Amino acid sequence: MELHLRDHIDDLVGKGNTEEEAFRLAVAEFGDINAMAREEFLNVKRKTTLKSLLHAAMFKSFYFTTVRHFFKHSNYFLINITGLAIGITCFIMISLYVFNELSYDNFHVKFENIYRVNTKFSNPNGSNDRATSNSPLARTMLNTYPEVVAATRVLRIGSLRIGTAGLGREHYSEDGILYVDSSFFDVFNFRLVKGNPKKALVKPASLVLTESYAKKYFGDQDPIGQQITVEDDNRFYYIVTGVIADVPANSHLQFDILISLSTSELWNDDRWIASTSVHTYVLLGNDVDAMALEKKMQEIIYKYLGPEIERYSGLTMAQWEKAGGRTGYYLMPLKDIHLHSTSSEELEPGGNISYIYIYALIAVVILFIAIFNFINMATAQSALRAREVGIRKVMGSTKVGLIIQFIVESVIVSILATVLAGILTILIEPLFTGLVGKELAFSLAFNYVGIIFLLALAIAVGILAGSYPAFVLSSFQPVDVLKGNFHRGAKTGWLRNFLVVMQFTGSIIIIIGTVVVYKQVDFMLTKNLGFNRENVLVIRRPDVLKNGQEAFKNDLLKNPDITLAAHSNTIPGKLYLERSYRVNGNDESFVFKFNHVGYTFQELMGFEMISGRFFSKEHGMDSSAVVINETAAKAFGFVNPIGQKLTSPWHDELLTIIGVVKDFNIESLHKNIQPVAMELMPENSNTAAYITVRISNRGNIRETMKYVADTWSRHSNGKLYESFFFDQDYENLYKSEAVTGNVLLVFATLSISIACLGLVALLAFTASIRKKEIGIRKILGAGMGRLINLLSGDVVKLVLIATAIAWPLAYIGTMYWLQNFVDRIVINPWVYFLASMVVAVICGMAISFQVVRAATENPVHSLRQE
Amino acid sequence: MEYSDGMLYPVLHSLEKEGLIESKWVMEDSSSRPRKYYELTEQGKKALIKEKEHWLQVNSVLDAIWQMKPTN
Repeated sequence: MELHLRDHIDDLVGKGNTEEEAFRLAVAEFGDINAMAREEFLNVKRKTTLKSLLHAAMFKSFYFTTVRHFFKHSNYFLINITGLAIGITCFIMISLYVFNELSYDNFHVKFENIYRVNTKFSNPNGSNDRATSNSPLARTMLNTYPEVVAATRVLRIGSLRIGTAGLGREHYSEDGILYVDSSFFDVFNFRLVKGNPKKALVKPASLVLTESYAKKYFGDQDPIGQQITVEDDNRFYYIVTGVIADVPANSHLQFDILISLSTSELWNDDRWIASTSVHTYVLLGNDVDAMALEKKMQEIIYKYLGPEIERYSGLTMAQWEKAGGRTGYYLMPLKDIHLHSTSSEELEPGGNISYIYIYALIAVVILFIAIFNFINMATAQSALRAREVGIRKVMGSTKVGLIIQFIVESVIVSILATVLAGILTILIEPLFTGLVGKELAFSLAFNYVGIIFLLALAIAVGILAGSYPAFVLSSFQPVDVLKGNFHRGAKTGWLRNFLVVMQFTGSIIIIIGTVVVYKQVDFMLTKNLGFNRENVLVIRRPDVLKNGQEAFKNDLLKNPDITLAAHSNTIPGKLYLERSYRVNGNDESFVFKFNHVGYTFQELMGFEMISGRFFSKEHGMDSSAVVINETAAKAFGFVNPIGQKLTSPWHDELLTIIGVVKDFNIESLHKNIQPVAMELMPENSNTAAYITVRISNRGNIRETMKYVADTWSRHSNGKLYESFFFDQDYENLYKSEAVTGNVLLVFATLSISIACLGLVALLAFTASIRKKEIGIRKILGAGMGRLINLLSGDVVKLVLIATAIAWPLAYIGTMYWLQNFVDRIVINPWVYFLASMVVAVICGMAISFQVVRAATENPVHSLRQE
Repeated sequence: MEYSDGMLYPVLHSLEKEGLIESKWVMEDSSSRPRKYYELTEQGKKALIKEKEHWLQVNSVLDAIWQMKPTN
């Protein structure tokens, strides 16, 4: 440039200008120096500076072409956004749920160091794993091991009737009561809003309420220092010593009221085996090796449990172990309790980690179905924008610039869809909560982390969905486009087909999964469990009647619609305690599930007697009789169990087996059938926990229920009446399966809808593009059939391919899930056919509408547009 | 549109960077200044053909538009 200038200056000087004039003229003729310098500077720097990229992307013109494009094809634009929004909504909802499940209990400050002490027990006849441990264990561990920083016991004993002295002694029956040690707040971080955590639960009869419950009992008054009565405890008033913030949904410990364990001496003596089992939680110091501590804890078994085992079984510890008995403690980390625990006697039913995997998978599948839709639509529409691309390239846009432009477009669509999804999520959250049956601790609204996550999701989806179409679009050659050589969508056909196949595959798998879950749940609920569930009314807390239980039952039986009444300690589906038995003269000890029952229990429940008889009034010695089930009989190994003698630590005299019943399920079908023993509960005993009543379905059930309630009221002097229907309550055992079934149903519907939405839009689009072609074919004589085949022939093939992929995957998935159950259904192959048929039919409907419309249009119209 | 001398240089430099032209300094005689000569590379010749085609294409389309008479 410099030399050029000098030459020019020389020329001008030669023409007669002074040096100065020549210089000025030359510079002026050189051009706009600043613009040139900028241009040169940009050349020297790397071409990929942001400025040059934006420059290349022609950002300003972006608004005009892109926005205009959106409005011109608003139908497809709306379909795109809708499909994407639905997919993202599903993804967000399920993510919230999964996140919620994974976050259980993590709000405690020392969450990583908190463990629960579980008890393992086994002998050659079986084993169990309990979430509970012996009552003195917490104190012993704290005193023996320096690794244990704090320890607390938690005890749930069922429902109690609570009332306030001031408010006319109205009693509410409360289920959410936990008895805990004063060290509860040392281990857990439940926030005490009022009261002193160090002192609140020290004294006996101290009571802490949650904020909602403080309001329930005391309104706006200060509850501290107020008195509360517990109906069955006439010793003293309970004093409210604290108010705690409401327990968050993601805590495995759920409660409304805490009462101090010091309240009863029963819970604070030195008995190990005979005392009430409690849930023991310990807080360990930092960097403590939990496994090492676990090993050390074995010495507690020998030191404290050993002597008691000897007393009850008559064997020394060594003999007992030689006979195959094993018991031990192990530490379960707090973070594993909710999703990984399979112990019995949990405080609340927990979740299951395998369901979390399933839900997470569903979320991802749905999101990808929506993204695939987007990709398909965008690539199909590339035909429309080809000319735009061509012109842009001629005008100087680089390929990179175009790619960026199209990706930015799809990010914007994605952000719009995500905003829509966010609003939808907030709106339907109550529905979702109802679907899964639990509150979520996190919500999307007012949550900064959530909003950032959403934004990141939108950008990620936009880039993911927009990349391929952007590459396709930006690689069009202007020549081909402007000449009209562009083969609309021919090259992109394989990807479109691939994506559609993926969508169909996902849909087929989800349908099969839904049907299997529903069938298994149905099976579990309707299978013959060995007893009658229908029309059985269960009345709780008959101990309130004190000695009047027999009179009450007799009164009930006066009603012609009430056929049977029986009392018992427990019922199938509820907790069964255990007792040990030994064959007379033999050392081997058998532990069975145990129930104390009345004479009519077997008849009422419909247990089938295989041999012998049930308890009956005619046999006076039945107080020393035992009835066992088949599994128990097998455990004993008797050829003929009837008449065999047993010993039990609970009886001084020998027990006689008088009958064997057919096996029945006392727990859900997740578990194997347990050996069960039943003993007779004396008539006037008041230790029954339930009175079961069989109602005939001939009469009016409502009236019968009223009769029962009235009778109760008379006999109990107006005490609270609590009852439930057996079958409804039993179904709660399968709550998580039922929830999964419902979730799958909803999301299967949604995923198929999204896939179909995409298919419909795609077909509409191809049909409109090929309007001219269809018009010409019609003129040349093609019939409706040929045309339909032309437009939709591919789709049938795609469904078949999807089927071939989906069936094996669905098989593996369902087998994996069914492993959770001991009793499983056998999956009928028809289910697989059904799933594919459903997808095919829905496709057919989607196709037919579009195709018929395209094929019936007057070809004159489509050709005239040229 | 006025086209000035100076506009040439950035374009030349960028074409050279893209490998479409190459340059060499030539000293014609010792008294005058050295001059830079630019020449198309093989790649540049191919690009020229393509750009010419593009240009002709756009040109013909625009031509057709200019010549179109309004229809009834």
